[in-house]
Amino acid sequence: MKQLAVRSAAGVIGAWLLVFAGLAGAARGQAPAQDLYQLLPTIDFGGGEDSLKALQKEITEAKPTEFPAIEKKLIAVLNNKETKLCGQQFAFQMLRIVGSPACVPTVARFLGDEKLSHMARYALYGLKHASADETLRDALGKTTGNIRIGIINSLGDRQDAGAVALLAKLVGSDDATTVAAIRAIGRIGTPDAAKALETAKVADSLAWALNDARLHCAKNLAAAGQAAESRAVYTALCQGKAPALVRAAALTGLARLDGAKALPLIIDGIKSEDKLIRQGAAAAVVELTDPAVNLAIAKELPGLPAPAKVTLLNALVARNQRVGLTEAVNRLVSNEDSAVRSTAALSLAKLGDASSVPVLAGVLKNKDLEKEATQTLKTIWADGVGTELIKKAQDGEPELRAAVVEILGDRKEAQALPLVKQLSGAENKTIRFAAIKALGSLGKAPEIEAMVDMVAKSKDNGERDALGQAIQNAAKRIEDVEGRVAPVIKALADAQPEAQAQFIVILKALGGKNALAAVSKCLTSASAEVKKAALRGLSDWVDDAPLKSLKEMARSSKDEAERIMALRGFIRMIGLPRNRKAAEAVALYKEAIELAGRPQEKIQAIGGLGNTKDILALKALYEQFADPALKTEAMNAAVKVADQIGKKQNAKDIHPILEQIIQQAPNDGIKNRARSAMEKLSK
Amino acid sequence: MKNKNHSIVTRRNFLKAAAASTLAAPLVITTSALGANGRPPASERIVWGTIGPGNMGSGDMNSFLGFPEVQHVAVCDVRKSALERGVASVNKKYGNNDCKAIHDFRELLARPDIDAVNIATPDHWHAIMVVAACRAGKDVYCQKPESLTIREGRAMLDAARMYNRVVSGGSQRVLEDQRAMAIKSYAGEYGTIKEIYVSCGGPSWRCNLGPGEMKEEIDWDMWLGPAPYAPYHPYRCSGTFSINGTGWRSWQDYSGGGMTDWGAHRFGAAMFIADMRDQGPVEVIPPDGKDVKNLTHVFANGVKMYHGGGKGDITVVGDNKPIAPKPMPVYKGGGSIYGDFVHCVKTRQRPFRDIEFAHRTCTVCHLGNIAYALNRPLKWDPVKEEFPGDDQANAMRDRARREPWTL
Repeated sequence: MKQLAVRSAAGVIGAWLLVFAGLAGAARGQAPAQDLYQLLPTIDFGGGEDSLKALQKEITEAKPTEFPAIEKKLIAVLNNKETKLCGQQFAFQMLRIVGSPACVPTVARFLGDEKLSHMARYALYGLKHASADETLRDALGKTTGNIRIGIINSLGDRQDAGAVALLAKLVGSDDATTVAAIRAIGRIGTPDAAKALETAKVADSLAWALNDARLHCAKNLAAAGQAAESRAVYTALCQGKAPALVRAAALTGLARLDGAKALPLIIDGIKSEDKLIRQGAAAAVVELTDPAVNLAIAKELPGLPAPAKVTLLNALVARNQRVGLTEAVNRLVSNEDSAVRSTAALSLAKLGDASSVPVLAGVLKNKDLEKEATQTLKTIWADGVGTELIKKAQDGEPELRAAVVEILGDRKEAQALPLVKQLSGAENKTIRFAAIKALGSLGKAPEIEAMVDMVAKSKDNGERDALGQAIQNAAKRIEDVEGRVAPVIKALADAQPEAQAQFIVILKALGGKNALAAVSKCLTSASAEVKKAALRGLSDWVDDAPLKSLKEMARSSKDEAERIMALRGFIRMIGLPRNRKAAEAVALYKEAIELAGRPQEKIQAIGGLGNTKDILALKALYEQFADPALKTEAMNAAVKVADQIGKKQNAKDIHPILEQIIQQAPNDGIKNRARSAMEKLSK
Repeated sequence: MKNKNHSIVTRRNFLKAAAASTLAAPLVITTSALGANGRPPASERIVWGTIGPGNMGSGDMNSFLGFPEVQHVAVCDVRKSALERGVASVNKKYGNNDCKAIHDFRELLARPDIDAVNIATPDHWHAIMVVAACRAGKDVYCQKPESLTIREGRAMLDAARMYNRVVSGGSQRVLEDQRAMAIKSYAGEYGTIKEIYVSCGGPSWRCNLGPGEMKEEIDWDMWLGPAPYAPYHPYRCSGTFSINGTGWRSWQDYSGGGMTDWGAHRFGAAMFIADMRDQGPVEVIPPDGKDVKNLTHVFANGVKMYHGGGKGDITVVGDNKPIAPKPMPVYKGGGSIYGDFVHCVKTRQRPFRDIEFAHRTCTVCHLGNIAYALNRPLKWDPVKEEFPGDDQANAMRDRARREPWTL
């Protein structure tokens, strides 16, 4: 691939010698730059990559004082009639960086060249000199078709004000040229350009280009400080017969020019029945930075039609300025229109403040606004919101209070912790459960201890589960793995069996050395319930720490149910660490298959092998093809592995296995996937 | 300069014109559907097209297909196999054969019934397509890295704002991979952030592959599009995610390499974590083998963002003096980045990875590539988006495009 593509035998030898000399020199760090420039004309696609890379690095890193000398060499490369396309492209691309007016005459010769016009423009791209513009303008008259379109595009990109008249003359040529010329004039964006566009006549099918050009022109005029000229263009577009998309764009442009003064026009746009006009007006609202308009908007909001209210509310959310607007939006939560109510409730997340809490709490249990109100109360960010919510959690209907308590937890309102603790002992079950959940979100070490005590004392399975989940949630925020489980371990020994079972669930989810020891100890409990919970906990442990003990139990337990549960946990654990070496995983899965007395566990292990991307896994699966009870699963898993690891290099090992699957698989699905995996082996 | 007489469009004219255009509005969708099977009625659906249903594009397309309000009607690609697969996926989803296979993206964008498109072509096509889509009135979800050059990013942003389009970049990892760090940052737990180390690949490099055997049906001239002419080679155009010389992500003409491919995610995440998504550096300093160990972006507020050098994907260094928490931006409408975009199409809000943030992130990546190439410190004006007084660096902000393509 790195060989030079040269046409003659002599050329091949000569080029190889040159490249070899250049690359060897480069490898020694002694590559004489001159050699690389001499090589350049001989390089074609498919060769000389290292030389080009070295030369590119040298040129891009050169100091400005070195540019003239480099430019001269690149010009020489372009003037060399033997230079191949690849070398020419390279020279042009480097001239983009080091070129000066000195290269323009040479570059100009290529502007009409079908293969190199683009690259010649590439060279001129960054050259800030009148000669570059003049050359491009000159080329307009000497080229046609796509080549001329490229030149037109470059004149537009360079914003060459001197090209407007020439470009304007091209309007009315073929469609593609007309479009390019119009759009280039728009990008140039001077008052002359605006005039040219105003008088340009195009077919209806090209009106989009003229509209686009006028929008660009107006934008550029505004950027250049020519507001009146810009406004004239936007106004003409707004008032004309342009499509709604364009009129909406012009409306937004006017709003950008006029700021708050454009508000009446924007409000009219918001009221429009046309979706695109509404979108344009909404976008203009988003960009109104002056807070003074808030009061005016608040005044307009109640009187707008429902769709306009929704549009405006969404725009105000995107604008994210609440001052002066909250009250008006609060009121819309009880609007007669359901879309307005829903949007207003959601909008308060950005536009609301503490005064919105009673409003939203008031609809928190209303079926049609519950979701919106909950979401907003969870995220609303303003002073005093937490305090207001705490007030709401203390009084009122139990269902509502419970919902507010949960919201306080989700908001991580630290100031609510004393109340939440208190309510976790509430008589009302709904409130109590909500408070327990919130404790999980807010609680720290003391609250974990308190909840552990509650688990020990609770007589209610549901409550124990809720407390267990809350303890896990709170403990997971504590980095000290052993410290966070200490109160649970402490309580485990003396607890009732039901509570012990819950503690085991907590410990298996949190893990750690001490937790493992404590749960392992429970395997010898006198309580069958606790013993079972301990084994289930170990099998479902958060990491693979119990792997060895589970394997041992799977091997030696006399109790079949216990043996199966241990075995299933063991198999599960093999796949837990993502960095376990494939060889180790495969050996463990094979052990599991040997230990399994029935197909269910063997199939579980086969599934694990199917997730092990290694040839050893494939071979282990192959060994199971002979067992009729496992054949389907083993072949299925084997195809999965083969598909993931198969390539030319290991085809020798994989091919016979896939061949056997294609011949013997019990269904066409597996056969087809095996065929597809087989195809990869040739790549 | 202001001329009050010129002033403003009259409100009456404006509304009159708007009403006229309403009458001429095209039919949104022709297939009947009145909201059966939990889907909104046809008039409330977002009519959709996919451009580039290849590796990432198929993932994006299938994610959007999962939204009941999305009605996918067309798929476009210059690769026959990708096009056929994409169309088959859509038809399978809807249980019909209605999805239109389109070869040229301009044909897809010309359809007035299409409201939104997702674009997942190679990077050198993104800007042209996004700008054209905005001009055609479509909302756009564009895969990252959104731009190939700094000017392209600016053109995409300008087009989105000019035509009032919702344009989302396509990096789900900004929020999802580093959520814990972001939560910590917005909670004020890092204190004032001073430094961020970002891990991602380096710049792309020159491709000089010779002609290769074409074993697929591909419109090669259209695949190249605005890029310089080059002969077909499978390693030039493969969509492999590997950046090792076997696909377009490796090559300068089509991609910014690992710097933009993963940098779009991770510099994006770093700027999000530091709440600087709308900013840009004022200086970019490449490593010098002495004092400067890693390419360094220096921001006006003093934050330094390094390319490499940290312990993981992203390492945040703050002064650890807790500061006031602030609300953390998240996806709008809940759910994923796809749900965020769909929500914003409906509400006209700005998406989580609004094209402005995408452009700022990609600019950081491009600046890194330019600084590596020139191997010298560069000053950058993030407002004017130029290297003050540095013609050489300024020339690298963009490239001429092969005719007839332009932004």
